[in-house]
Amino acid sequence: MTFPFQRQASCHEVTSNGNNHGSSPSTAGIRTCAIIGPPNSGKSTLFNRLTALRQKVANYPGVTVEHRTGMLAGNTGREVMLVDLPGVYDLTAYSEDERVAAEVLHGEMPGVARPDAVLIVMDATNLERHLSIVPDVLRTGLPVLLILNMADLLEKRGGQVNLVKLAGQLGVPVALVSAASGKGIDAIENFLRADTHKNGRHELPVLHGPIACQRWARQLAGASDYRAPLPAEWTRRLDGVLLHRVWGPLVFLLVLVVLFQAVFTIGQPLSNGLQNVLNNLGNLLFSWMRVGLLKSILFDGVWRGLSSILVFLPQILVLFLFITILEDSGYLARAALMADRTMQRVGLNGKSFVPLLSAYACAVPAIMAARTIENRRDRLATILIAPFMTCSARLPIYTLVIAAFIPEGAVFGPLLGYRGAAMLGLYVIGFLAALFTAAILKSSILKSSPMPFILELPEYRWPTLRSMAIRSADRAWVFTKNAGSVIVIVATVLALMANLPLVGGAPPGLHQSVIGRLGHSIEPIIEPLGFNWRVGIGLVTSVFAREVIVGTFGTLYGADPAARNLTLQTALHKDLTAAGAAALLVFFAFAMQCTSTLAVVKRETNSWSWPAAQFLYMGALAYIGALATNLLLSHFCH
Amino acid sequence: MPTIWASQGNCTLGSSLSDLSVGETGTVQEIHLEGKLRSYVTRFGFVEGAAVSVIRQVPLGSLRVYRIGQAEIALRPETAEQIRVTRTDT
Repeated sequence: MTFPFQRQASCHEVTSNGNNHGSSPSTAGIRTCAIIGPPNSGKSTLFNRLTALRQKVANYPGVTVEHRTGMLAGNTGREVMLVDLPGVYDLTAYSEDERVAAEVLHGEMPGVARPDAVLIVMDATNLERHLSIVPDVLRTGLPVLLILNMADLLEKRGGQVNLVKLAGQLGVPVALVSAASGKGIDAIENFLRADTHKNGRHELPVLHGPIACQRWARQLAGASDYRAPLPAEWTRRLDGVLLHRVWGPLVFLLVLVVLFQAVFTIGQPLSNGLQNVLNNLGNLLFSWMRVGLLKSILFDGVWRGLSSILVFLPQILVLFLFITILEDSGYLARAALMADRTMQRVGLNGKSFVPLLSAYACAVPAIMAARTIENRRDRLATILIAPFMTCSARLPIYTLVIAAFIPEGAVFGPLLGYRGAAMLGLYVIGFLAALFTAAILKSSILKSSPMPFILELPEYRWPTLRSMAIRSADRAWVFTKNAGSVIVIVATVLALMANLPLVGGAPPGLHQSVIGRLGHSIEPIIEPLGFNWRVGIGLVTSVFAREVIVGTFGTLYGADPAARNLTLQTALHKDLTAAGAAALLVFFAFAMQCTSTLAVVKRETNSWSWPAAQFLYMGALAYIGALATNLLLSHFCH
Repeated sequence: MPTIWASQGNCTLGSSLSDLSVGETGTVQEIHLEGKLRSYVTRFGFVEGAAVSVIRQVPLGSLRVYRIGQAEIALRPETAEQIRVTRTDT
């Protein structure tokens, strides 16, 4: 990735005659307005508040930076579209995010209309530093509203600022708001709905480089009677515990344990309930259909397959909800600090920890979250190892095989049973494979000179229900849409193949069906792993998505008269050896069976070679791992 | 203009940010980083003349948290070493 530096000097291009930013009044009113501001300034909270749920996420053409757009909520007159730009400190094009923000504001982003106005959002408690973004934005000549967010915190901690003086110095209107509580939001709405806008003419100094910008920002804050608030006392006190030498790591461990435990103790009963609902609904919906080919495709294939995926929705939601809480509260940044040492040992830094933790829910958002890593090679390494983390799509097959082969029983009192221990083991081998791979990548093809690791610690905040609800709903929809569309196609094709060719007008036996013959033809390749032809078909279909294998087993055993009346667990237990079952788990721990992940890796790396290499590498590791597991266990267990 | 900072012993001018102990405060004198890295630390407020204090040591590793202006920033020692400071008596 090359960073064009043509706007490096933008700060000093702010001319002293003021014409540049005072000469483009918007007379027709605002139709498109960009929102820009530094990370952690509450930009997204404000965006959510202004647009409510009327928003959509899209990618800028040709680059990997995502942007959200939304329509201003409330229905009075003109529609105003808001564009949420990536969080940036200035427009120096140091990172891809900054380059994109600059291009959008200058109207140089193909396919994105130049905004008519800009809202600059900054943290009022951190004004001296955040003001340095202002000259870059004013230079675009667009009408600007400067929003000082977190007004409540500023006031509570004894800070103050003279808005009239600040507005007078900059020649733009200034609003003091609290996006979290909604206080002062009407000022923004009035700005957006006004018919004419014009930045005042004002003399701005000539500034050379980022240091001069910083100095200018501090002087401006001083001239606006800015009194910085007292340090966040609660954040200090909490960090005294959460980053304590002894308590810090203990709480960290506890948070991780609770996170994964919650998936099972809260998510599992919900999943079971949903399973019952879906079963009854299916029986009700399909009761009118005659038994035959169409019913076995629609009911046994598509409906069963779809519901076997949907039942995991509660567990995935619980996981996302917890990760959202950790992130919004500010704890995740502390966890990243404590994980830095481990990440450093394999050549990465604490910033990789956040994507890797989200990868426990799903690798797709995790890979997108890796955008916060500035160093391109570190980012690439994080993207390549993220799919090793045990994502929620592995839970269906893990749960099924473990329940079929491992008896209940306590290893360590009531805390950990045999089944829990097996599950934990699978999480551990995935994590170790990720670290191992990172160490190899970072000491060879992705070796880079160490970038300084700098992380700003956000203040602790209560996560808002609003933001949790919006993000969870978003994730749930994406999961349902992706998994749902794949499973419907796979299940339809599978059910057709299991019922064809017709022999004298009736479906053939499973062995003679198209799918049976296909399965038998791949059996020699997978036999050394302890897998039979049914597992082979599952491996083929689960290339689309890991959870599909459970639906496939459902379809295959459902089509077999000998297994039809058994539960899936019993059927599997009769069909596989214990060694083969263990090998299957190891295979799923390592293999890259997810077309959504491959697609997002392609998009993020802008090349097919990385996802192809990742697919082959993970596949090879899975094959070797499963082979070794099967050989060892067959040798020692008999 | 390369400046050689003597790191031996009691030369207070020669301290780096990593020499300060938790609770101490210093004023940034010079940043021994170039180009991209320099503007990168600058945006976090590390500019000449800024007051920096050491807030705490992060467990499980060598990171430390510094307060600069209103922000709390974590740095690795190898980055902190590049930032020269003078101790401020408190």
